[in-house]
Amino acid sequence: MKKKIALLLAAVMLATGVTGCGIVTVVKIGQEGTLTGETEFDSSQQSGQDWEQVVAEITENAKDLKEVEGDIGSDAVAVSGTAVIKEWNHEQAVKTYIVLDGYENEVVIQTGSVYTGTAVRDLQTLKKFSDFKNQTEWSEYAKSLNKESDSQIVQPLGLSDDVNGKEITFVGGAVKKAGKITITVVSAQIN
Amino acid sequence: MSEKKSNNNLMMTILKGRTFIVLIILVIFFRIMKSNFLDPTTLAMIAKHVALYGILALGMTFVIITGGIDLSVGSVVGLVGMLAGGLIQEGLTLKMFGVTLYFSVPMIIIFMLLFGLFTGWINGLIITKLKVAPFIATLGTMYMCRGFANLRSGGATFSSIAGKEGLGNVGLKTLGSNWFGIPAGVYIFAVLAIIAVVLLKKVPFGWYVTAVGGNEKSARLSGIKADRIKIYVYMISGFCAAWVGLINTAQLSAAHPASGDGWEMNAIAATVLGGTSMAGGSGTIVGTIVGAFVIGVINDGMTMCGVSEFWQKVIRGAVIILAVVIDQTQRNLQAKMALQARNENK
Repeated sequence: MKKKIALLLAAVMLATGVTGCGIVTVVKIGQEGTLTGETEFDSSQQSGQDWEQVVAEITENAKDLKEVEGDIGSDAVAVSGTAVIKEWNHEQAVKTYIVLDGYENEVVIQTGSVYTGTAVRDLQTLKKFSDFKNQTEWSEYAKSLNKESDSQIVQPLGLSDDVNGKEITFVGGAVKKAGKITITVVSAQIN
Repeated sequence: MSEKKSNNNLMMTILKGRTFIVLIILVIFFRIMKSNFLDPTTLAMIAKHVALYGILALGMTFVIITGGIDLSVGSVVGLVGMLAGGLIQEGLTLKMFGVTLYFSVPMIIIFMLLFGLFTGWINGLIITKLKVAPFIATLGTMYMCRGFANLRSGGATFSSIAGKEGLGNVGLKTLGSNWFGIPAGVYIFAVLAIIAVVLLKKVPFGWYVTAVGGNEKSARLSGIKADRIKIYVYMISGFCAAWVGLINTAQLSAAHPASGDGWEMNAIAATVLGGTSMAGGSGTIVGTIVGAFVIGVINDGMTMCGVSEFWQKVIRGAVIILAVVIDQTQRNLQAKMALQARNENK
């Protein structure tokens, strides 16, 4: 018993010694920021804070999709419009989308669950790449903005097969890839 | 007869100093090809690389003199980098206590050097106790270390090795910086080279190493603990590889699991070029240093001249073969001269 106590004391003294001498710094898991003054990057917190301003900026800059349809390329363009829903395609749960009628090109609004592209991030000017530490954070920010689109705009639409044939009014970021225009919405309403 | 003898003597002198002669020729050649080859910045860059190959080659010299080979050093370089980088960037998390330990850089250096010794000890044990051929044993540990290096981060790079003041773990990058205009690695190479010279030539340990490589059976009969000596030389090699892992990580400001890939070949090439016999029993540290310079000058010189990486490999391979052939010629000539001398004495 005495031996155990002595060992425990020795261990405590050693730990205190090495910590006191700066040989090792002991930090509670995840509490490094208290010592370094740095806060861990939280993309969802940033996108949540910025969302309203991002929506306002894209809405302000949006042009009627019918007018700019032919000019859209791989760079994101802010667009708006009202169109008839041809179909809500949900064959693949991870890649559902609304197909819009009345456009020259194939135009879809992505409705999750996975969102591709960085159109929303690329259309806002509130944050730029240099505000982030690295490419990973910049990419995380884009993903979080897409998640805001999903939780704040797409989910409340309550999509079902009933939406086919109804009219939708939307604002969002559009890009064209392989002849198809894909829109990530920042506001949408089914009439 | 005496003319033939003096020709042999001249030939012998040239053969003994062959690596140094090659080094001078290479420097002149690359200086003609690239006018900035001898600029201070270029020399500092070459010295930086030579230090890495050189430190590895120091350890390799001891191993090859005993008749062994250590293929694991390149992977140990990668693994040490990943372990050091991980300790700095992520610390050591002890989930059961709910804490993360961030070690100071001197402690990390000590841990990594001990780890290098440990890998060498494992190599030595496999070779001496399990009687596995050095080539196979170290080939196995080479793959294992590379695997562990990838497992440490899932193949990703540790890019924040600068550490943080608040966590008390800044300073590793000092090993990759210049001290008074000379890369820190060069100083470490110089200190390790001096220690290696003393170990090999001035203390009994060095004689034992040479004796084990020259004739293991005789060495055992004369009371030398050959197995222990072999374990020690692999530990020296691991220790040197750990230093290279630390310096390389500091120079790159990042730790990548593929670091050090194929460097064992540079180390072997430098050692062989330096005159260490692959058959064991002979070799010098000074020769290895010159060999490391030759490898460094060839590598950087060819890169500066725009020679493709594929051709560089071809040329490096040819240089190694040539070095071994010349080594063999020297040995044959030595034997011939010894025989001649004996006949004359009769």
